[in-house]
Amino acid sequence: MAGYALKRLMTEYRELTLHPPDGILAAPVDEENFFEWECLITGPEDTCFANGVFPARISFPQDYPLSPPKMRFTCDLFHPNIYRDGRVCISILHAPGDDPTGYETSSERWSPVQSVEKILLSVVSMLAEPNDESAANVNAAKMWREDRVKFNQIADNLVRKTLCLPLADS
Amino acid sequence: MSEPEDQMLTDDEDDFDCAYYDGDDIDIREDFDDEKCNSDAEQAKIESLDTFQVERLLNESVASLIEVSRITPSLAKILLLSYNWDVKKIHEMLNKDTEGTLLKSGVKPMSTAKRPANNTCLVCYHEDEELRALCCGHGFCVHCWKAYFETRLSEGVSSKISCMASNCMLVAPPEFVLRALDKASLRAKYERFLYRDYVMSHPELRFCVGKDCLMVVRSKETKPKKATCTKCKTSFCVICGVDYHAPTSCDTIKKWLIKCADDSETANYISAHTKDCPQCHACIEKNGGCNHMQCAKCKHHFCWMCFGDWKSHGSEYYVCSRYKENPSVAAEANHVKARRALEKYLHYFERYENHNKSLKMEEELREKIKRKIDAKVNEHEGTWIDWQYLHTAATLLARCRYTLQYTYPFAYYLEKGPRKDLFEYQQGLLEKEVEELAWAVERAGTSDRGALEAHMHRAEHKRITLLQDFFFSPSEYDAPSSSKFR
Repeated sequence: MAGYALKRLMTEYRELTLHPPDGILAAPVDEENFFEWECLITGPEDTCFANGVFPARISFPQDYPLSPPKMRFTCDLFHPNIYRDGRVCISILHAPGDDPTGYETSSERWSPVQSVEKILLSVVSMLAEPNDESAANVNAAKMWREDRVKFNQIADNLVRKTLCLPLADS
Repeated sequence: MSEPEDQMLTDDEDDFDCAYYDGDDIDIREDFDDEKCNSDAEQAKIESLDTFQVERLLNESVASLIEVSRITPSLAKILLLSYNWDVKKIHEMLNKDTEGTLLKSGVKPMSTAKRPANNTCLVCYHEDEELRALCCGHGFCVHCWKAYFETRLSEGVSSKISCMASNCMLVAPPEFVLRALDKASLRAKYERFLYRDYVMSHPELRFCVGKDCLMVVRSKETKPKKATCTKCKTSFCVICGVDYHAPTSCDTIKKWLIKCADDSETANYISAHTKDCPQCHACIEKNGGCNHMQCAKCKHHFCWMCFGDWKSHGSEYYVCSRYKENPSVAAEANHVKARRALEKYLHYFERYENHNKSLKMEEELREKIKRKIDAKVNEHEGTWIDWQYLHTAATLLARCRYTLQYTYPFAYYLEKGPRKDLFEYQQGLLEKEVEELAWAVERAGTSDRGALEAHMHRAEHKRITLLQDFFFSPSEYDAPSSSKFR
């Protein structure tokens, strides 16, 4: 089983290095272990996360691509669909039928034809357009809805933090 | 037997009387005589089916669907599964919106795809593989299909495995799955799961809850009546599958069983019987009479009544005079409340549990009655037939006690009011009759037959009075339609 997953991950890695999508870098943490990837995602332009560079980790199960991988941001992110510990809650990472919130019936689910690239592109669009219907971080979802100015300010400071810039005055 | 009561009896109640006067054992009646079984208002109308009969029943539905709408049997099964085997409804839906119905149930693909030019499997990225596709055209290599089905199967999914392509909801028909699975054990597992899904999705079918029993019970019952498997003789509620529980409703008995199983009452016990040390907040159970407490942990001396420092009590050793003006009276009230709740629960639970135990003990009574009859016949006190009424009495006793046991969870959740008063009054009457009957059965002789039958009649009548509301009136008892057990 693992050999099967490994082959597929190696192919995906090759594809990603040959034709990297804009604003995304992804690679195995070390060449010995293809089941643990590190990636860098730049915040989408014209959003409050613009210019930020956010590091994340992806862990693949042994039966990948039949089961979806897990993704976790390793920096601080205040976002409705990201748990406090950095875990990403997005429909493409959920297998069909396993829907903890019941909100995702219409959106795209995990299937074996999805790929790392598709996951990362989905995450980028999630950063641009949070889904406050099924929130992983309720406080963030509430602020996103009710106090966008403050939300943008927090996001801006997080962006500055990833770039090691001094924080803006509040 | 007392006549005036008969005026109140409806037809259904009469049936109860017939049921016990014909003197058969309940089980035997269910097994061999459907007519009589139907006459008993507590018994659900059921039909026990074995695997073969179930398959035949399902195939009949498939055949009738094929007749009205031209589709293949395996697609018909997928359709039936997603519409709970309601052939009529499917037919209506198909007439109204053929496309939509077929799309929604995963029989028809949303979009069809062309095969990739170089035969690349999009899952493993291997080229030049032999690709296999469902009618949606999403082709994947045999190896990936197999691995995919094995994974889904290990997750317990069988009847609703969809195509691997993203957002393609097309359901893989059994032939396709079976062709991809190469191990016989996996194929058997798939078929077993499929069968389980078919039965569970069928509104009239339920698996027998008996251990290792493969029978399926078919019933159209909407009230939580009693079903008895003809094979393993297990009795259960036809709606929710736990032990038969009239006059308690399915929801209530579920709540009650959970309450009995968890340790919420342990917490209540702690709250009712212990207090926290005012200094270090260690939990203390008072094990002596003296109100002068010393915390074993922090060595603090305090008064159990008012929680004040013991030193301030001065010379007033035995009377805590400061009890009333003390602010901790409010805290005290919580203890009292918890204690009341615990007492209430224990009151009902003890009686519920006690009847359960008595029922078990009275199972031995049957053996005893048998020996007693043998002995009596040997002593020429009446013939064997003369004594058979004792068995009838024991059966009736068990039935009454069983109902009585399940009145307690019901009463526990009943809100205070005239209805509860009435219910508890009737419950009290049944309680009294049951105990009298139990006494009479254990000590019956030939000459007491008349008296015993009077007891039996009274007990059964009280039991029916209690169950009357449950079976013949309000809809509030009706089980929610979604409560079919899994």
